[in-house]
Amino acid sequence: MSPRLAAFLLILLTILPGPSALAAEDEAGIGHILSRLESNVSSLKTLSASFVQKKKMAAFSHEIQMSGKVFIRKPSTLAWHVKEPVRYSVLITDKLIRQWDGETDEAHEISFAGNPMLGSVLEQMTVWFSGKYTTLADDYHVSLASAVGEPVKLVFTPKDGNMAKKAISTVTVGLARDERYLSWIRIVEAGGDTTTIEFSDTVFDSPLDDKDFEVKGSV
Amino acid sequence: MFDRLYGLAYDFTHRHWRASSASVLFLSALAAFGLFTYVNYDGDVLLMLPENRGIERSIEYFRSADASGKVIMSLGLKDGGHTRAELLASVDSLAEGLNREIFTEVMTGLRESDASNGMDQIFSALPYLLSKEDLERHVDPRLGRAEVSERLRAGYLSMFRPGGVMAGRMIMEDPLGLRVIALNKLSRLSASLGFDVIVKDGHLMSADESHALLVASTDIKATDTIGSRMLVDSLDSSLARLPAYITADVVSGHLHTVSNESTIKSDIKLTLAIATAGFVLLFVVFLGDAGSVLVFAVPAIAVLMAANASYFLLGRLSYSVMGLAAVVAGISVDYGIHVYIGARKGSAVSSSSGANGAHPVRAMARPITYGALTTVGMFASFFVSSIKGYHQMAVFSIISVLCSLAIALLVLPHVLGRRGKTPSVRIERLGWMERARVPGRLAFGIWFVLSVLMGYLATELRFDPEIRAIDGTSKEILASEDRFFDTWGSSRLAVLVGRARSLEEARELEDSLIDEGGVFKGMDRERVSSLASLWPSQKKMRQNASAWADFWSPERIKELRYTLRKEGEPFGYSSNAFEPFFDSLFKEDLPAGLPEIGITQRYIRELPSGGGWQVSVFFPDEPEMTSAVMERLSGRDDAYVVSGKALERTISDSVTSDMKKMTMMAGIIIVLLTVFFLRRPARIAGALVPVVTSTLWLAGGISALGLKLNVANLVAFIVVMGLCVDYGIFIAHRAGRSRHEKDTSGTVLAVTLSALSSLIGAGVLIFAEHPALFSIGVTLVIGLGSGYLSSILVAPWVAGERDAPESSEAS
Repeated sequence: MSPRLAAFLLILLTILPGPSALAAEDEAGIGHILSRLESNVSSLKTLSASFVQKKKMAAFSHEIQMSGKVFIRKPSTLAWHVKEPVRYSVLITDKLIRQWDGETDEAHEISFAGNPMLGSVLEQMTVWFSGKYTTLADDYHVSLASAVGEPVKLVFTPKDGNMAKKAISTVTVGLARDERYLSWIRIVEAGGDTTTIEFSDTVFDSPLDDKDFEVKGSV
Repeated sequence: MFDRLYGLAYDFTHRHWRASSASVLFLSALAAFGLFTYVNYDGDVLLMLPENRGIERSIEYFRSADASGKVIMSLGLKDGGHTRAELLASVDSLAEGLNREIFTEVMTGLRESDASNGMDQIFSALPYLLSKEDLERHVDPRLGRAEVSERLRAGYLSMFRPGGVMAGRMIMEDPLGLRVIALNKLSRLSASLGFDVIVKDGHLMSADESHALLVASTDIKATDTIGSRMLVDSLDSSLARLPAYITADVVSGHLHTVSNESTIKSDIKLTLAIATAGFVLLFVVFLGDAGSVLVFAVPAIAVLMAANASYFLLGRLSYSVMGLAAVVAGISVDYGIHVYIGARKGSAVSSSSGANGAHPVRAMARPITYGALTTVGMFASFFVSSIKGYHQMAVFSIISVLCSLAIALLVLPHVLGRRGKTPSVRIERLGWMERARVPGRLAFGIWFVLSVLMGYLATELRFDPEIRAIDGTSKEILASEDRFFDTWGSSRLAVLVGRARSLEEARELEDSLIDEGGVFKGMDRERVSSLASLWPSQKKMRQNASAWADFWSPERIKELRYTLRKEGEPFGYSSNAFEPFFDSLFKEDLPAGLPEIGITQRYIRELPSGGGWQVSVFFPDEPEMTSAVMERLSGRDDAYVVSGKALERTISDSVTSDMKKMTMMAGIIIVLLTVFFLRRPARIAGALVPVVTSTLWLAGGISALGLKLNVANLVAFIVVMGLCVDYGIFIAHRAGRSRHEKDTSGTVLAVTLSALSSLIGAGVLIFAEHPALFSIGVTLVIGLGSGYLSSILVAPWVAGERDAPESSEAS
């Protein structure tokens, strides 16, 4: 190697950040993105959107696809209404989960008061809809999977010690271009099952009817 | 005989009065040094409770249970101007700031990884956990086509939940929902915690989310006084760093220990100070003789000596015993008072004249000694009680009384005599007390009516078995605990405790206790919470595994496969969707150890120092249930019940039984000694008037004031009897003397001063904060006051003293 080339490389190495520095810079960048998203989401009071959820599971011979509407009211109420292929609704709050089967017209409710662990588990599930992603950085490795100019795509991988690691391999979140909310979310389970949810017709802070949060007969 | 012996001793100390005085002073200095350096105090509550196996076991269980090493804190927001996030941030900050050398573990929320591990462990051990009854009652009904179809539909619908993570895997591994059977058992275990708790943002919160919980573990036991003080100081400094808008309520046995110690120490200082001031006022101001302080020195020296001697003999000394030091001082100052009055009545201190009647002190020696011996006899009756604290009191008080007697009769006269031979003018002026005449028949009539009334009121007297009645914990701490339980709820549970040498033996014991034919037979076993209902012994697990293998016959498995395939088709289940379930049906490994579910320690723990293993089964603390279980455990050493309500009943029954024995014994001793000393029926009757009066009026007075007897003031009851009989003995003794002798004896003045000094010693306890000392003070004031009045107004007439002058009689 010529002395000139060696000097050039030396300068390059000193001015360019090393791998850990790059990782640190990446982390800082992701931290900003998460904060930005959480800030955008935290300003929302209500949200409604149409969704299409697709599930590929070993238990079923075919992909299960469903569509419906989701309503979210801060701080912690989520109503999920499935219209196709079955009528099904579930309401999740910080105190209970209530579900309704359209075919049998039966509703069931479970309170978390006597079962704090169930509440904790459901909170883990619904946090992806809440937008509170900065706190997730404590339990997940977060990486940016989108290129510059593309809508932000984040990949969450459970850290060791995270209970979710037994169930989840990765959660990939695609943000809408304006970063106000999710465009889609894809969950790959540890056993290989996958769930993809795509959101559309998202409306922010529109006045929501109490009927939107009733499970029975709201579909 | 008595006169001769006393005369010899008196003369000896008279000749060597300097040496005897110096010896007393030297021993006093030594005793004072020992009191503050050598003597260690004991705050164990067991000392003041009856010696009863059930009580000891209960107290021991509470001490050794997980709860005794825990400090539980409830944090809340003072107003609505702050958020839950700020509350939880304060919880985290507090948890972070606690001294880890004292608080070894701090929990602010559920550890999800632990819970997850625990549940995996339970699910994989299912074949060993479900009994034959579970299989018949819960599993078999799920195998029908309709039930399978319903479950598969429910599983299908669970795919429609948002995310639906793990839904596919769960239905593949457990299409029949068998895990729910285990989860229901686990839920019942959680219900035994007794608190209403939810999990929010990873923290334990109250149902209304207004408060958050923090549980800190420590190796310091609540009975460790020094350690508790260190813990409380550290906790206080951590709590002081909380923001102003955060409230904190703490539940911990350590707070009780520290508060009790502070209260009693403060009370001891206060009562001794007031008693000292009162005695000085009484003797110096009332009698106008500064030298009368020497009288007060007698019981003070006696108490110092008694404390050291008692500690040497017994090896321990309770705070409660020392708290009574002022009372005992007030009792034994009587001897010095009589000696003082006698010495000041004008006769010179004589040398060994040998003439019994020529010296007032010598003349008083016999009744003073009789009084002291009846007091000793009264305290001796404490030994029939099963309460160890009472034995300590007896030893301490007997030594104190005897020391006071010896110093008063053998040292004090000579010291007083050295101060001059001039009679006290004030004492002479108080001679009207000896000459006053009370209409005896009228006084007796009034006394009789009032005594009958008090006797009637006494029938309403009740006993309070609550430990709180003698617990000196401050009101602030008790109020904080009340707020805590208002916030978090509290269900009162009894505990069935089982002990065995090894873990497996303990597990098998628990199985036998909760089985269908066990101690809960015929009761609602859904209300019983035990780990064995979820995780039985290995022996039971093998039985369960055998039943499981029998249940899952090849035919049944084949039929279920067909049913699942058939009923699953409409929903799109794949043909091999449930193979994971069938693969899990047979496991060869027997689960070892205990489930890792976080609350396991509450149900089973290894005892320290090779004590074996202890299992706890929780059930509602209801009298019918606890009584029935206790009866079924009767005669067993390996299992017993710990029940708060039963403990109160046991204490009440034991103390009542003890008190009957003690009262009877004290009464017999007092009567026998009085008969022995006085001989004549009228004198005996007169001597006993104050005892009868104090007993009736005390019981009636306490009842009329709405107070109750408790383990603390019951002992004061007997002290009152012993004191009042002294007054009666002196008055009865006086009744047998001539008019002139009565008028110049100074007996009434001495009895009055004795009563006043005793009332000072007892009355100061009314200023005590400790409820035990306070109730003792009230008891003594009522008893002594009524006993004294009857001794002056009624006893002379009963003892045979009439208005007309009598000729002199030998007593």
